[in-house]
Amino acid sequence: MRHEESNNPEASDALDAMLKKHFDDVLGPQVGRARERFASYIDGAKSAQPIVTPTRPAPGPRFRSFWAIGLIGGAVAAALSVVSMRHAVDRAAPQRPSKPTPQNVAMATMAQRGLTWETLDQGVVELDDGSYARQLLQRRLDTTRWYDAKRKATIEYVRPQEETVFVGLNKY
Amino acid sequence: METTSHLVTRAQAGDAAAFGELIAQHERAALALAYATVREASTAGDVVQDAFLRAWQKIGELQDAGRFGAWLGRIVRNMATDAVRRGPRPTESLDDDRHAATTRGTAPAADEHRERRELRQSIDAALATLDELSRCAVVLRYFEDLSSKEIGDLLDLSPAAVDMRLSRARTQLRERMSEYVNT
Repeated sequence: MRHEESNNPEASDALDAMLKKHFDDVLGPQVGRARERFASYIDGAKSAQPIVTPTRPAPGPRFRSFWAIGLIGGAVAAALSVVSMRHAVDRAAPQRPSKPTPQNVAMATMAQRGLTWETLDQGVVELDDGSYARQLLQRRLDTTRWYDAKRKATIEYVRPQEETVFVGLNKY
Repeated sequence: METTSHLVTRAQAGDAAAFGELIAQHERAALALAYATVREASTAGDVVQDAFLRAWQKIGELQDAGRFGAWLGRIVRNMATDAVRRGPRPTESLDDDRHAATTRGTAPAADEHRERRELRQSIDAALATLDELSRCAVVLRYFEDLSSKEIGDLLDLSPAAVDMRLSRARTQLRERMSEYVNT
């Protein structure tokens, strides 16, 4: 061996050769397993993603825009309802003691408006063009409740809506 | 050949091919470290596979790309220690039995196999008497032919300390295996 002295060089050489052969015999067959395992790990990680062939037009942005429009639309509707409520309260409040008009009475009596929605994931579906997308069912409930002074009753107007949106699956 | 630092930088950017090269460069040293701890070849192979996967997942945390070997060595030794805690697997004896079955029937081949198995057991028994760091140094030297400095980098030892451990280990092994080395 390189870094030490031995009283018996022949014995040292024999020991060196024996150890080298031993480790080559037992560990040699293990060489290459880690690289193979890593390659299959990487392949597995790739194939776990949804498969979209490159020749197909990418459906992602179109459906994503659709989804974005739905979300933004919902948010705008909710914001509008809040704004209209604030308007009604702000404008109606100082006028209430004075002379009421049919318009401001109607606005003043609007008490509540709410928009709630839920989204149900209905899984991955194949579209007509052969691409895949996640199908989401969006349910919205537009509720308006007010007190009708003329009828002396609280009136609730509920408008349910359902909409199916597709979110395109891209291969990353 | 690309340097380890460059490959590490590429791997940190998500380049799997670069990490594959790192495996090719360091697999033998990793096997040596794992084997020195678990003392069973196929278990060492399993440990090394898992260690490289963990290294791939954690490579973003490696600060000094030039220290990849030492960093990987720590992962391998920790996982090998965990494998020892979990207990041994009976793969070696199965391999021996299967080999014996294929050589049964021809007396010289059976004798040769028996002698080889005895020698292997004798070496394993002699290696088992060494402390773990010395065993690591021995396997790294004889399997991967690393210099004392390279071994020291992997084991956090100075080259002089590696030489001293190797010298003592060889004396001990020679005594234990005098039956084979003095004939």
